[in-house]
Amino acid sequence: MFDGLLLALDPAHLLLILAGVAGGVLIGALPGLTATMGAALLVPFTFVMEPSAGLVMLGAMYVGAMFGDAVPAVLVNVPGTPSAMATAFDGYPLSEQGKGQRAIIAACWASAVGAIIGGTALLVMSPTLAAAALAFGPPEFFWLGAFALTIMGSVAGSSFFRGLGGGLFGLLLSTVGIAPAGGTSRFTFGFYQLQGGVSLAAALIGLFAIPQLIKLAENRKQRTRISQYVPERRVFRHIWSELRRPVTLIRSSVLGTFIGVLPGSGASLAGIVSYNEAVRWSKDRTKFGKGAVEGVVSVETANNAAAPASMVPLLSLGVPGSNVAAIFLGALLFHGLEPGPSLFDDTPEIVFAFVWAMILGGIAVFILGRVMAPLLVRAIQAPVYALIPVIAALTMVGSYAVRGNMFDTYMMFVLGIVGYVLMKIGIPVAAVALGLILGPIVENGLDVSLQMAETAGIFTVFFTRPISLVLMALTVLSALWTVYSNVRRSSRTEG
Amino acid sequence: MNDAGTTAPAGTGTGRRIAFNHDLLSGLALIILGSFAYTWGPGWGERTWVFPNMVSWLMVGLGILLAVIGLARRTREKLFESWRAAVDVSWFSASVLAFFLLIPQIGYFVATWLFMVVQASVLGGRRHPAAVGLIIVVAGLLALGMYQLFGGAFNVHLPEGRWI
Repeated sequence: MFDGLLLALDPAHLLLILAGVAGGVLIGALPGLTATMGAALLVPFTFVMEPSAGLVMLGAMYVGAMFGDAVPAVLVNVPGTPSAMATAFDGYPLSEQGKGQRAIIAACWASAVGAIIGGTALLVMSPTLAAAALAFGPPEFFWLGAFALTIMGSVAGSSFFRGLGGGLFGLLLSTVGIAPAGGTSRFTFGFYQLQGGVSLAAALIGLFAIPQLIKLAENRKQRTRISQYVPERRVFRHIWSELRRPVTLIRSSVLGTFIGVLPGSGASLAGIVSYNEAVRWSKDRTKFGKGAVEGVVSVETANNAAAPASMVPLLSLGVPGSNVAAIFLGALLFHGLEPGPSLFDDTPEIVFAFVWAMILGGIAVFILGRVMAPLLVRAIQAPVYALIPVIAALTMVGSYAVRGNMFDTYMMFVLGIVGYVLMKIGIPVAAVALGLILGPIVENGLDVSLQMAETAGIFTVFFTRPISLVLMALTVLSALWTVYSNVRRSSRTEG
Repeated sequence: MNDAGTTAPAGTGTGRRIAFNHDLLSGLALIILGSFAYTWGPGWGERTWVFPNMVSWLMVGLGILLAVIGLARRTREKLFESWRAAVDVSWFSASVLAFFLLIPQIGYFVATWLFMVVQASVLGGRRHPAAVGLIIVVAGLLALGMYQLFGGAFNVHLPEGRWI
């Protein structure tokens, strides 16, 4: 393990870590470009490097991208990748209040802590976590997705039922395309481009960015800038007041690590669940959605902890649990490393150097984010009339970049208009996005569980497995709590 | 239904604000969407439609609940401050759509440059004559920079256009 650390601390490797993080931040910050795309672009360059150098750079790039996606989410309400969707809930309101610098620095602190804790878990608990991940089957995934859906109460805004309606609409949107089982086309209306479903990146850009742009254009006479830059001399003191109570950090790191380990779940789910728990356990739940640093911290810690943790199934079992891990699998194989139980015994220095690179990447994220935050916040001080066209052009590039077709751009625009109409009638677009992200997880879990039940002849798969039972109980309790707290809040408001 | 679609006097005196019952509107939207989604599919016969059907039914149920709440409360919340604001929103949305539709014809670079210059001017830049020249130059550099960055560094080639 320490040989790996020494290898990662090699000056050339440190430079590669910095370069990887910087590249990752850029990729994450550009809407439409994801960590997967960044890894795919970087892998060919690693072919000419030493295995340790190539893997170190890849690991650092991944960590950088997981932080970079928070930057546009905070500054202009456009999540760089789906993982940063929940970052925008509180990050953008902070930016609107002139506290964008605080939000970005909090995000980079949280990202660093998440990457360090997730990386450490990968370093010391890989086999245990892999075994725990194997205990998760379709019923457990179904309940985990359903549990995450209870966050709708936290993002519902003024009306819980309208928030729920938005979430259902998102779930319906997630069913567009070829069904996961059976191969039937659903809601494609003759467009072959919809066979693969609604592009998540394009949908999120449309739902978050286009309504915001239209709102800015509508109010441009009253509001000439997105936010006023307020130099914050005591920014660290403000953030420290949040971070000195490490409960949020620890809870989000643990959730992020565990959810990250589960194959197919991903950093988006980790961020959503973590945000939901931050809201649930907060003494002042009303501050969320209006610019709570704790909200930004909870999401960024979790999705950055999930990034190294998502490598657990790959390194321990040889099973890529995410798209990025699948690309890393190709890189490992090219460099002559066979992922699986014997990997840590056969080439320990290289594998540990890769893991250490993610941890050191977390530290690099902190330094880079701290330096960049004031510059980034100043960049959006341009007048609204100049910023709106630039952001509109970026939405086009972001939606086009994922699959390289204009159809996704048109889809993004249509969903943007739908999002604006929904916003006007009081349905939060965040709830729609939530349904869209969680839909495939819930549907796949439900579908395969039903198949299992049919095969077994009994419909008890959801209730007889201990983890499924616990998750089901948590989901029911969380849903009841959500309804209760929203009804109580409504009656207080009306009273 | 007596609330929906009516206008209420504006408090500001700059026009008539447009107000609707949000719960009623949301409820109707959910009922229409849910019913459409359910009738589009083959019903409960195929397993691949179980999940969309469940969601559709829940949408219809929730829509009815929201509509009832809306009718009972009979409140109206504003959609737009005035008809002028609604026209502004329509114009902006149409111009963004025109920009996206133009891209395959004249290419990303030219379309983006044109869009940025026209939008920045219409949204307020023309009131600052000194800024107009700057907008033209900066818009061109941004469009070109983005084109080169995505094409060169990320291998994402933005549309080149049929006409240009």
